[in-house]
Amino acid sequence: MAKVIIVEDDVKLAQNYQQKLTQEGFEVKISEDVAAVETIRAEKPDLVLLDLLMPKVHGLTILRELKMDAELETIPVLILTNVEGANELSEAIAFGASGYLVKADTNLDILVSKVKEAIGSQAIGTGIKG
Amino acid sequence: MDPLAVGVSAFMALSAFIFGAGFILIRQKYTGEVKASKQREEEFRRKMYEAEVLKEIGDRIGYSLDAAKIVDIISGSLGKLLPHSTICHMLFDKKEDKVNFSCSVNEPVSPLFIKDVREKMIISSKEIMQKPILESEISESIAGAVLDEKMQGFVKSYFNLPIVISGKLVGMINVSSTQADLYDHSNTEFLFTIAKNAASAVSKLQEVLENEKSKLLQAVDSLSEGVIMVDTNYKLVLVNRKLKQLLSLVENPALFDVVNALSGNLDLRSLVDEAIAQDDDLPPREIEVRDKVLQVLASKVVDKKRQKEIGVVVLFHDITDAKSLEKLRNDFTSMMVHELRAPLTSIKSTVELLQEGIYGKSATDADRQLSSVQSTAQTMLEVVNDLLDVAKMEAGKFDVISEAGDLQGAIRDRAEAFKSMAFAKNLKITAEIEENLPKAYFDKVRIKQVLNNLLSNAVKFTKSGEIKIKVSYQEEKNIPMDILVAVSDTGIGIEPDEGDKLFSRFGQLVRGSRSFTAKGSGLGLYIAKGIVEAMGGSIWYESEGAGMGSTFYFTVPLADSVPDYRAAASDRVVINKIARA
Repeated sequence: MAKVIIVEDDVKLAQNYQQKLTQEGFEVKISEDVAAVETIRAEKPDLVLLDLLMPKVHGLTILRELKMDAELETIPVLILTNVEGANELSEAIAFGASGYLVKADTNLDILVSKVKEAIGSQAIGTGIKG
Repeated sequence: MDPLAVGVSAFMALSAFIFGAGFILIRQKYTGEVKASKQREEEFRRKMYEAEVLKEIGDRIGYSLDAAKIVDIISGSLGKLLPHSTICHMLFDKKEDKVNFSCSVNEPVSPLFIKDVREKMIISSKEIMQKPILESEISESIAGAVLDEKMQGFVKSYFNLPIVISGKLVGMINVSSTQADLYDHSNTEFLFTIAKNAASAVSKLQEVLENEKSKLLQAVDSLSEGVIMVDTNYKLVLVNRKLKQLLSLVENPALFDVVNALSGNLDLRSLVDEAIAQDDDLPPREIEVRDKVLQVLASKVVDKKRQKEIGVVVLFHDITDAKSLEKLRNDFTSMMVHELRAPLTSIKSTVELLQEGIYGKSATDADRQLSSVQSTAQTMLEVVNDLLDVAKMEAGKFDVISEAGDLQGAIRDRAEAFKSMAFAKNLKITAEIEENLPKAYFDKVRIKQVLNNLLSNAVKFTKSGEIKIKVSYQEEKNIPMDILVAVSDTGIGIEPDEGDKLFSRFGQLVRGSRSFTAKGSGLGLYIAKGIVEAMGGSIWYESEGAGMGSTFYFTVPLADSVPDYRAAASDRVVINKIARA
């Protein structure tokens, strides 16, 4: 079963994503921004869904830490954002994010297909259901 | 002897004596007149000469002043007045430490003669300047009759005419001859007078020019833009005060200092080259130096008379504030997009899950999901309302309808309303209201908005402790002035640099990520300020700093103190529109 970690400060939204992805057969954990890197190191997920605008630690900081860590740099990261065209988004791609999702424009089915695509392209997560 | 003959001869003798004497007298008178007229003529010639020299100096000097011209004019015409073998002059260039020695030779002399002249001039200059002249500093040019090695003789007579402008020796003229005793006080004094007059005329002109120049320099100095001028040899001609300040330059910087301060952000040399090569002004460019964003404009300076480039003026316009405002605007837009989209996203996905039946499998689960949708929608509504209020305020269409009333009711009501929110965070809310509070003059709906903003901030930014509302009225000479409302918390406090921007449209952005935990439009204080001021009060805050809590104050005018209200002597309602830039 492929493992996904959601790093997102909007708890309600994170729970909604968790519900949907669990339904689709993923193992999903939600992490707080401050604990994100540690959680990812411990869990070794197949994919990270990472919000950018969070209160304590900015998503870009987390992304940079992940990509500078030899052990974690191969884990694909999908950026969650609500602000298209922000500089941060291009910075995130430059730092090695696999792609991004504009939350307001994404319904749950698109989320699922993007998650599958991101994991698939990394040729990890053989146990994906559906 | 015949007495007649005696008489005649005596007469003749007498008359011969008389005539003889008369003749002598006349002769004497005549030579005196000739001498005097010669002197007058001489005097006249000298006067003419002086006038000519002064006129020529006036004509030729114009706006470019140099000692060389004066020396040239005086020594050039001097030859016509006095016999001489050579007329030589020296020019002292203080800046370059150079002495220019040049001679016009009228009749053949020996090289030793010239050497002698030179020696005499050096000695005299040294005395005036109180400073030795080094041989290495002197460059020499000789023109006119050839120098003849076979010629004998040194300088037999000479005089030196120093040219002193504004107290400084700028040049010296020497007239020398192979003949002795040619020059004395009487035939050279007028030259000294001319030199003095010419020098003082030039000094005055120089003073005027210096004044004009300093006026121009002062104008350039007081410009709000940084300015430098570089000549075509990349030499720094001018740096104004603003640029020194912008680049933190030393008092008298060299071009090197400017280039250094620009620390590789601008290639000044190629900018100068480009500006000279282009006919039009170069398009402005932006550079970042020392946390400042500078717009750089370069254009060449052309000497119109000579149709020649003499340098390039570079203007540095500090656009840091405009840039940071632009960034604030962009950040604000991003924040608003985020604040509006986040609740929508949450609502949308919850509804999707309900539709798919992933949520709402039980009635309580469905209920829980729906109430979460409802509260998220409420949050969003508040953000939208704030945005609409600001839009109205900025369009001047935000109405504040004031009337006389009791403030304490409104305050108690809000304190009560926030109790549950405070309780959820284990915070205490207390309201202390002074007794016999006079009637105030306010908008009953808008005052709620002000209190809501202050109280919700207090709760949001406080982890533990309490929130106090204190209402009192202020007096001046026993006359009640207005009502003072204070909302204090024991929260994160306000750092000094957050300052007045707190009440600006971008207040929350200024507070930075520290306040980002608190959701909302971040426009609360901006709106509160607008309302309080439209009601005739003022709003401010006090905080000892980060982590020290903060107190927000606002005043509400007393009903009695509002002239409109008093004049109408009734509960007349006054509408104040808020219009802001």
